[in-house]
Amino acid sequence: MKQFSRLHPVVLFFYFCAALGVTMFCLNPAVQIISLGGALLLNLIVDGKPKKRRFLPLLMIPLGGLLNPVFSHHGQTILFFLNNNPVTLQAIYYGLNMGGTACAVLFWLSCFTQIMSSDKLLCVFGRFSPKLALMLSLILRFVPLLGRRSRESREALQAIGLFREDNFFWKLRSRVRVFFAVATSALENGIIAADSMEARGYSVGRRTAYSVFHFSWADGVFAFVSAAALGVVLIVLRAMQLDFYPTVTLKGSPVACGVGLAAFALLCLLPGALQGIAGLVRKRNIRRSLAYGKEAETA
Amino acid sequence: MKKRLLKILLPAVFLPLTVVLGAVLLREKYYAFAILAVLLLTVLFFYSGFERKKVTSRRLVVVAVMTALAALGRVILTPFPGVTPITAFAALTALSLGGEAGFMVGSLAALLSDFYAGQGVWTPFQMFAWGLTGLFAGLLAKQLKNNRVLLVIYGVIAGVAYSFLMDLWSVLWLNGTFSLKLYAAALVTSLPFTIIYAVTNTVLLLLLVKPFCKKLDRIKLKYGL
Amino acid sequence: MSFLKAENLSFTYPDGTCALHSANFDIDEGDFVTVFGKTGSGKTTLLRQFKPQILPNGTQGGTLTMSGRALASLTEREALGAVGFVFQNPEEQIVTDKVWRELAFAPESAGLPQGEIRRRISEIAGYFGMEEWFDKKTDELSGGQKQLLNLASVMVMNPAVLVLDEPTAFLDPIAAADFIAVLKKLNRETALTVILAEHRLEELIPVSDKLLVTEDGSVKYFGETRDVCRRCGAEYTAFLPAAARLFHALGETGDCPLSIKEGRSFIRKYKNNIPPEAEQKALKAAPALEWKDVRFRYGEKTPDVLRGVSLTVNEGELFCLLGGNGSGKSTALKAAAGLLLPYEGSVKVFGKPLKKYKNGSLYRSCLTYLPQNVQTVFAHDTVREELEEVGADLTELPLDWSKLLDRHPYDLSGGEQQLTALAKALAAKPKLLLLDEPTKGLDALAKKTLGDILLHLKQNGVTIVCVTHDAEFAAAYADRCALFFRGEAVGDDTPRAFFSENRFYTTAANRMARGHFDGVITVEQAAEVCRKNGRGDA
Repeated sequence: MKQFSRLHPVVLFFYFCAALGVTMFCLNPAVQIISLGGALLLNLIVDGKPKKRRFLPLLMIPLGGLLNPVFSHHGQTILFFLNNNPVTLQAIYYGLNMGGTACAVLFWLSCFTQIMSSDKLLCVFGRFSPKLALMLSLILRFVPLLGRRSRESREALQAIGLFREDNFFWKLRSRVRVFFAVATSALENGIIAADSMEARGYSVGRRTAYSVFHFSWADGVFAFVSAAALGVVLIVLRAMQLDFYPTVTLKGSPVACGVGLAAFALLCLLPGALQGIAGLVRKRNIRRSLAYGKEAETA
Repeated sequence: MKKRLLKILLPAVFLPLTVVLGAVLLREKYYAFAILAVLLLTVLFFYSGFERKKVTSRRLVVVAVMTALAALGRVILTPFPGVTPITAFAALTALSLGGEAGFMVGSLAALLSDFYAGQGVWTPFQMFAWGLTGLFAGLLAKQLKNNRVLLVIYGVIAGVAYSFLMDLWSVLWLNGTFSLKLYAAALVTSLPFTIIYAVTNTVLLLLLVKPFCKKLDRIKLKYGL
Repeated sequence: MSFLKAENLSFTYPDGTCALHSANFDIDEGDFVTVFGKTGSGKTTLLRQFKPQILPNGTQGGTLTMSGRALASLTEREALGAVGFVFQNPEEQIVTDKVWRELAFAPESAGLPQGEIRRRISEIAGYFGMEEWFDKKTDELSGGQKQLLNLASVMVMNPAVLVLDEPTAFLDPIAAADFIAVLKKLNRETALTVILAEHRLEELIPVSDKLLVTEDGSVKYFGETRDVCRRCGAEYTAFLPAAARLFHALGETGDCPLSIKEGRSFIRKYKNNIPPEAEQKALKAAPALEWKDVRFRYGEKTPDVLRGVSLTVNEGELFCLLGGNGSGKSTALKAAAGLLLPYEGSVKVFGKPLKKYKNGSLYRSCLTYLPQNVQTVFAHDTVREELEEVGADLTELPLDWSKLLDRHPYDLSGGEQQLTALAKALAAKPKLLLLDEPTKGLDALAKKTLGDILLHLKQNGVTIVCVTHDAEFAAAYADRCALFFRGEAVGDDTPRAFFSENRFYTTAANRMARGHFDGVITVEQAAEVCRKNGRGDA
């Protein structure tokens, strides 16, 4: 069994797009709750030791509930008046729902950032455009190089008295000087990289994009299951939408909505479950394999 | 010429059109989806052009260096909210190497710096907005290069437009539907940022335009770009 | 028919300047050819003729053929499999962010399928022993690893000819020797033809089959190694290994010794009745720079890089700090320059602790420091602007500045860049000059120019501290040397005492003369004592 984070980058990318898309464009608190649950679960498993700050985005839910009624005055049930404007129950519901969406999206994105390393993203881009992937790789190579150069330049200029922090004017001037030193070095030496690319056949013709990731049967199964779940959700998407104004009502049939929610729950909970269970299974198997060697030793 | 026209029309006309149509006709969340789709398609349109075109290795490296400088600048300047050099770099590249290069620098710097600052739903939007600032600078390259007043105007407009575009997205994303009231509120609350954007752009452009065009022109001459 | 054949090969720039004219040579398959010559003599232009893809704008005349086919007529794809090219700077020629992606660059360009690329890069990574750092970022590698990666990224396409333009100029001696060993292994095991230009020839010439010397854009000498070493003119002896230099200095004829071993038997042909002259003792002067129990680490939990450095440099000395990579010598120099703060111990400059120099007064008429990479101090578009920025006094440096002033700093040669940076640093009229690896990447002549300038500065009362890997340079110019090991300074002494006590970390001349003439550390000293004694067999 493969852990979620070890799946093929294209599958992962597709999955995140699906989960984010449905979360963002389905107005239904049940969807937001399921989505939030799935994202939180995955977040906790991937992160190991979560910090308290992690949960800060949850505050967006009450915030949405407080803010929306100030701007939106639709809705039937008027609770009270604020500055001669009605504050309605439906507007509060809507705000809470929006806060939930924003919060769930943030949690999914936090998983995305942790799981989709630059290698994985480049693999996805490489499928679409090998040249773009190369370009990104070049930039990713230049960023740390230029960062190091700017530290070196700063030291070098400081030691010949051209980098000073005496006053604001000098501070600014010194930094501009470092920046120009780095920019000049990057542009002038860039030509070496270009020549090196030519020497390694850049102009031969159409590039391919190599990646260290393999597409295995597990990737296929996961892609199929999540695509199927997404398909079901998309079919009944209209039925799953809630109308908040004037009263909170479900648009389609409750049965269709239920089916959609079940499919979406499968979609959202799958990665967390996979990551957790596969991780545990792997840990157990490793322990077993190590113990096997020891048994052989003692026997 | 036709392709060029399409390139300008696509972002400049279709995007606002979709927003207005969406707001008037649909009154639903789907049009936010439509906008995102149009946005991604525009960016993809540019990138696929890049893939098909024969780009020399030297040009590729220069664009990558400018992007890296912009992204690094943004990462270094994170302690100062709102101060980012990406617009300035996209514009500077565009002045020397053309609008498409400017678009690449703006959009890729947004994507790359979000590797460090955190990816978000805002990433495609930023890629699009900063890419556009580069593209337009490329279209006006001749005028901007020799006229400091125009450059200042460009810097201010680019800053304001970026802020307005991002606020539009914030409203759509947080509220689900377009609300003029909320948009106005968002514009007012982000006013300090709008000012910072405009000032940063102007200062950086004025400060960098002469030395940088000199450097880039030398590279162009020496390496035959 | 010879494998590579150049007939009347020439190259002219669009403005009419001729960078290479009527070059003729034959190279056999499996040859290891070393190219050398003065800076600007056309080495790089010659090497690039083998790879038309990276030729600058200009026109090629004559022919350069490989197995009868002109190299210029190969398609891009054929050229990729025919000739591999490795550049000088290990850092700047890396293209991508990850080691494995760098290896895959060339096969990706060729449009090879996934499976084929996987097979090729796995094989090459295994051969070069890169498994350990296969997944690393290219930015995290050491200089030697970077250059090895560049070599592997070229070898992944199995070229028949490998051309290298000063590949070890930026490496420390150990990494350079490792790199050359890998080249020799490739040459021996796969009959790969290697054509390599280099300044540092001590270890290279003994393993070369042929030598090619360039002068003013033409081939001055070409032939078997020993033959060229014997007959090359006096202006080229500075490039040769110590044994051959001694041979020329004594005006000998016959077989020219190349390796240390041959040099040892050569030197033993001389009598050893008169010992070498005793060395003048260094004068005692006031301390200019003192490290006292200096400790420093880069991270809170990382081990100490400086573990209690204690060392004193006296006024008016030229002091060299030697030692392997990571021994802490560069860090110690930075601590002395006030660029980092030791967590324990103190650094005193002219008797005053660094802390007491307030508001940058340290860098005004007191101390300056130049890092390894001198390009880091250039921020302008011409040398003139660079020098005017600091108000540099050009009369100090014996160099024809008139040709350089209007050029871009990055268009200068390595030696000229070094001198420009030095001029910038000297503008503040320092009394203490700290240099990190000033001879890195310089050829023998540029090294001599730099050494003479440093001696001149010393006479004007400037104290100089150099961090260097270059034992020959230290032996020739230093008043005292110290060895760094594991973050400590051990055994500071005069060069003669220092190098004749070391068995491994010493100069080639000392290795040759040891046991016969003890205490000899430079070729000049060896030549002098040989002359005094006379040949034993004559």
